[in-house]
Amino acid sequence: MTILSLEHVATSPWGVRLLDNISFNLEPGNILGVIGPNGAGKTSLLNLIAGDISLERGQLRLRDKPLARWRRRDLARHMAYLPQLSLLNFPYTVEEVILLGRSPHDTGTDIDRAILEEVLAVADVAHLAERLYTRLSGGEKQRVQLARVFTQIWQRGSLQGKLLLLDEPTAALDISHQQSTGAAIRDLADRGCAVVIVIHDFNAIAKLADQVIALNDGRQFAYGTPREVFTERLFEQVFAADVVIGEHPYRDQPMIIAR
Amino acid sequence: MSALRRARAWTIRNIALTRRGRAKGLIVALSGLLPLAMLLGLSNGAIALALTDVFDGLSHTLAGDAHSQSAVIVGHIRLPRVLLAAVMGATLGMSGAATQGLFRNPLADPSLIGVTAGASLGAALVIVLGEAFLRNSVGLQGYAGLTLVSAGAFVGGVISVLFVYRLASSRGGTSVATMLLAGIAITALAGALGSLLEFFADNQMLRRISLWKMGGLDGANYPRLWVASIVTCVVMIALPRYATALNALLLGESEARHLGIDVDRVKMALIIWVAIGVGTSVAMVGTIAFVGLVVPHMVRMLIGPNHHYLLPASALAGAILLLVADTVSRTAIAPTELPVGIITAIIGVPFFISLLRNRHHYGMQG
Repeated sequence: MTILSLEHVATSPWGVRLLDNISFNLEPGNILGVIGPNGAGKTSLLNLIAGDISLERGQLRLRDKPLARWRRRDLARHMAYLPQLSLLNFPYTVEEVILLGRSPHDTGTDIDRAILEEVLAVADVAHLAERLYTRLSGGEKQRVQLARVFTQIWQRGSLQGKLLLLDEPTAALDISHQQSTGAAIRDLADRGCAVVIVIHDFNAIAKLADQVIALNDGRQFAYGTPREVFTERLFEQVFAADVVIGEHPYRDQPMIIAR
Repeated sequence: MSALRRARAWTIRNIALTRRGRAKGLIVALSGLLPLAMLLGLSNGAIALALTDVFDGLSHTLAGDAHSQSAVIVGHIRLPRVLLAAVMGATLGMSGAATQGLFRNPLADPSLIGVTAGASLGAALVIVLGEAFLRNSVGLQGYAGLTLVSAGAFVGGVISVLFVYRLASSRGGTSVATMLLAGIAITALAGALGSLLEFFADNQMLRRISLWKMGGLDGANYPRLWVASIVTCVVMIALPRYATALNALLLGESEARHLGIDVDRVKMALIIWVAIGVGTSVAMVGTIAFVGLVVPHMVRMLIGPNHHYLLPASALAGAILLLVADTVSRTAIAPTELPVGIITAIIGVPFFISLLRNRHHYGMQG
């Protein structure tokens, strides 16, 4: 079953066309990378899928059911969204923040605690569990928020049917946590979770994503595997950047470096 | 690592480790303090009573034969007053906690959404215009007049909140930031209209308006207590049902929506309940400063922002604070009573300033 399908989707929530004619399908276990210059509509695309802005034209289906027909709580049990910025400035402990991810579920304290323990380890925040969120560094906060959205869709066994929306989840992270976070996201996908991820690091996308969609000015410039999408034409026309597209020395993936 | 840093790390760890335990402990401790504060209020006043007299008076009152002096003082004067202070303090404390959660601002106060200013205007309207008219035509006086002022205050408070809410709502939902600004605007407008009324009021009306504005529990009686208790019960049952939603709302509105919360419905419900609770308290005991602001803030410092504990603990602490403040107001320069609003402000303001100056100590930012 296709998790997420967009057909000729357009939206203009404040009278300005933010997205136009976007179409793609996302299958369980696949990771879709979203790239584009600043203001291209990457976050708008995530907001649209999350139901924050309404659809103007086209079809948006989650598990073959139009998004508008989903009940709010059901949706929250299947889809979690990590926004770019967190506004939280109340002194929750890290543990309390992460457990907020369980609020759409009625699984009970024991299961929630067990999930918390697993996710604390996955996001490498176990040592922070009892600290106050407001006292953490930017990167630590980001890992805690990531753990919160993991918690929201976490369950024993298969994650078939779950969808994760991540807006620049690694922007504030050091290189070691960028790598471990990438591995954690890949793990979730291997267990059946579908992921839509916005990252500016092309090499991270090449390593992580099964498909890539390139947005330019709200339109779909290209869609395909990283190898198909990463072309010199893309970097010239969309990013106005001068890059070299090479081969990764150890893995079968393209590698992008500044010329 | 220096001893100081070690001690600090230990404190931080302990704050977090035992937070749930502390929250439950605080609620138990406050539940124990509440009856003590009530006894304090019952035994102190213009005439100090020994605890045996208080229990004696209580048992006589419950038995229905309140004839001895202590029974009259306890049963007729102090008991309704003490209970009214407790229920209104609880309503103010819990409403304040809900307001701060809703606005995601630890410095928010129920008066920000216009309820206090609207209620003051409603009361002033009744005092200046309505009462003179009604007294001449219908012959209402004394007790009925007092009730009319309360009704005017309640209606004024609720109308101004609805107005603020309408101003901040658009097709895309309700913006809490706009609500704050609309609340300031409505407060200024109600204040100006109130001043206009005072300009045309005579001396006796002016004194009544200003005394009413200072807040006081001296009008306590059993009918008022019944109304206040029923409203408090309803608010105490209604608000905690939104504890999970309030917890999620602290993350941000869209984050709460992504966690399955119907944010717009929750916002509307919270505003209505807070307006009813605070509107009733302003109607019954006038404007009482800082209980709704300082109490939840203080409780949050001790047990963190989890509303499952914060709401009930704030209700208990609000009840205790108002009980103590009222006892002070009755005894400080007895037999003259000070308006309790003055006492809560005198206790509250220095405390609030010290909170502002030390907010980094407990992880509050912004």
